[in-house]
Amino acid sequence: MTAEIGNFCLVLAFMLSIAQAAVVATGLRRPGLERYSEGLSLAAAVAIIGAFAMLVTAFVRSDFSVVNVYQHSHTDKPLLYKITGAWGSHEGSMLLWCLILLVYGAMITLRGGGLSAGLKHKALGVQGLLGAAFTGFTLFSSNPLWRLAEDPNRVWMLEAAPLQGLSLNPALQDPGLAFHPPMLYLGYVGFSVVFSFAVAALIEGRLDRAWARWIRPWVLVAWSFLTAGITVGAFWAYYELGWGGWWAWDPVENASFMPWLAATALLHSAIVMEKRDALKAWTVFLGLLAFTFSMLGAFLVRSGLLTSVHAFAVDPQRGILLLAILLVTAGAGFALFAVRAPDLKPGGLFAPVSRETALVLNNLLLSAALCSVFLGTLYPILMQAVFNKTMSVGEPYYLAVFAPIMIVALLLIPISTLMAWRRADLKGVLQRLGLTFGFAALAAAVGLVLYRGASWWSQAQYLIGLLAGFWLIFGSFKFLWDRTEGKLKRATGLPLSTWGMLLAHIGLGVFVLGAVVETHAKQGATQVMAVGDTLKTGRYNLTFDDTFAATASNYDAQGGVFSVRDDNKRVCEARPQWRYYGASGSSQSEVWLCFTPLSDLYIVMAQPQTLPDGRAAWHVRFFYNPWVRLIFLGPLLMALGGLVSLADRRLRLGVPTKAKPRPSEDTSAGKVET
Amino acid sequence: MVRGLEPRMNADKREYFGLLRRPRAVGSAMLAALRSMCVYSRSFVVPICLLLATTPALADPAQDEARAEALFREVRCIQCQSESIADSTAPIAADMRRLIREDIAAGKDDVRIREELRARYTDYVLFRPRFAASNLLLWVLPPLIVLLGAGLLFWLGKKQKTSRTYELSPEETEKLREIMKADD
Repeated sequence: MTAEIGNFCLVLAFMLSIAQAAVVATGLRRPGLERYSEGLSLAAAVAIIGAFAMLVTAFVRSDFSVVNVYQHSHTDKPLLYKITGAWGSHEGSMLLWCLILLVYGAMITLRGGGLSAGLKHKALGVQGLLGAAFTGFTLFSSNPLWRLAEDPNRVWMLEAAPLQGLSLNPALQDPGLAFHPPMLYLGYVGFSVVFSFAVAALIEGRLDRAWARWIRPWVLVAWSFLTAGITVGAFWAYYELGWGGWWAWDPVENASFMPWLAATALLHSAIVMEKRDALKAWTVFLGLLAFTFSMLGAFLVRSGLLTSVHAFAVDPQRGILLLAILLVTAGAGFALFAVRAPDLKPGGLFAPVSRETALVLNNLLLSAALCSVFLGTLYPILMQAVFNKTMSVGEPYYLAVFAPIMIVALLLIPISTLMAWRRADLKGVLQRLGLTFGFAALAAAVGLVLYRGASWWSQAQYLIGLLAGFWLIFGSFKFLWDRTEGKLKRATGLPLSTWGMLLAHIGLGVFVLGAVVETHAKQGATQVMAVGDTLKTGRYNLTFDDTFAATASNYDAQGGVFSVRDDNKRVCEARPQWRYYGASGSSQSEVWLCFTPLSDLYIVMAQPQTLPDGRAAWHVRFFYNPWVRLIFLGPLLMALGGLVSLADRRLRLGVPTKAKPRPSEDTSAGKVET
Repeated sequence: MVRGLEPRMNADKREYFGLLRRPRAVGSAMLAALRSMCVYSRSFVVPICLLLATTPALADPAQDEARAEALFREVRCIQCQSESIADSTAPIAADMRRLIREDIAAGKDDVRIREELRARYTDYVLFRPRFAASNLLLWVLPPLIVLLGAGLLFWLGKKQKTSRTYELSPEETEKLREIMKADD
């Protein structure tokens, strides 16, 4: 019954979403019904939670009469991977997407206490439309709850429910699957709320500082989750895929990075709108853009256009449907924007040297960076489609185009945070930062000792990167020092949003340091090794001491015992594995990391083979990844900064006011309790 | 080409660059800068590039290996999933790495190695797209956005400044005085 109940719930969620949009639509003509959208959004969320719970139940019970469970589960999998397997496929992850989308919709109702009724209901209407589109897509074309007999594709010519499933891709049988997709989707889909509010405000024809203030918590939530989700994904790729890297500029990685860049720009332009009542059209545009890029990402991953570790093998028909959803929703949003934007009253002018100008520059640079990632991702696809020519865009392109733009943006951050609103004294700011810059330059110069570059050019890149990282971190501390004058009492009095900003900027600096050092000073070696062989990377020696065997419910593993020595001093013992997953008949290497606080020694064994003399050997890769920890620590600090900022009372609009609602006072929309 | 230089170059090409080689770092830096300029915009600095192509690389095993490593990161393993041959463990990647090392040892420069790879495997093999007309948008649009945006900001700032210091003409001053008088 689980699948049937789940299907019923999914149909219910679909109908309720349509109703939610419909009542708001009737309300545009004759006000009255639209207030029911609030209750409908709650009901739709409950329904989709029911559908999702039923899918998880089917996975936990290994109900192989359900196609999706049959294709992606196995009785021998540990419970954790049975549960996470529920979103390990295209269909299941689509249902997760819908779950998060409708729950966000309910959150608009629950947390929208301070909003004007008109704006809130219109936003709920748009959210209902999005909900209907995505639940409809899931229900009719990508339903994870279909029984074998109901599957329209009927590829599984099975008379009865099979006794065993086909199991999950071994790369996905990892705790990473428990965190990466849910966090990423909490980010992606969180921008749907911003999208809905942008469209609602455009319909209402009123955009003010209150609107900027109202969307800011939503942007912060989604941005923080997206940051954390991308980071967890990067770390997962780092330790699971065994290639020793963490970011490949793979189109699907870019697909998650584009909404992040748009949202980062939005986060900063919303501040300008909130403080200075300027950049209205631009902020709304970014609000529409962030979710458009989220949908574009979903389309790219699921269309079958790309070959990537992430891409689901999906038939093109579903890709076309997703493209249709993307074009219709984004197209409608931007068309509305084009019609309404000229009516938006331009906000206050601002002085050439001021915080707001600095933030505009930030937005300009982020947009250009976004443009380079967008072009780099779509250019090969378009060239293939239009001219039938194959081409590649990879790391060297991004290092040549994206990196310089971002470096300029990074170098501007400490200066702009010290600038005052309205009119700043650039000379004064630069004077105040002189010593900080000196320290950053000194630290970067000292850091040069770590790395003897291959060429002057890579050395220069390394130096500039280090400088940017240290400059960001020291600049943030300088800001803190100036604001508190070194007194602890004043530090506790700083608003949480300021602390959030500091944490995020420091986190970015930490990330930059890690990325620069890891990219430039990384060392690695590869060799076919049998017991007794040694391999040298940098100053580390790896010796293959012994082999061992290990078994778990879902795999059998051969492992190697390696000792790592640094000038004959033993550093650690490594036990990487080569695992065979019998259920799916595929193998996967399990990386071993020798943790130190900052750097990793990274050992993988793969491709077992027999040497001519009969000894068993493996393809062993041994990397020294200096400062790699910072790469994952930095963005987590950034996400934490976002959440700290969110906790700021001044931003907590969602907290329902105890005061009676004042329906007549629309102008109170978004008033903030302090 | 300047006439006077020809005989000396033909006699000993290395001597011509001997000037640059002392101090060595400066020499290789300038050479590398010229080389990368040639890579990006071969068309309008053709003479220099031709000149460069004829000079033997400053042979140095460490330098050669560094060049090889840098090239590996730019070359796609054609049978793998978006991996460079630096990252890939596939046999074909190992073969391609060996070929590039041999090319470098044979004295070919990066531009020529890239061209030969492209001739054999099409544009697909290069992770750094060529700076060609069909890729113009890819290379030019992002920096163009920065330049145009910055220019626009500068222009707006300037306009604002000039409008602030806008002086009234005598007639306008007279009119203003009248209005102010009327206000009293």
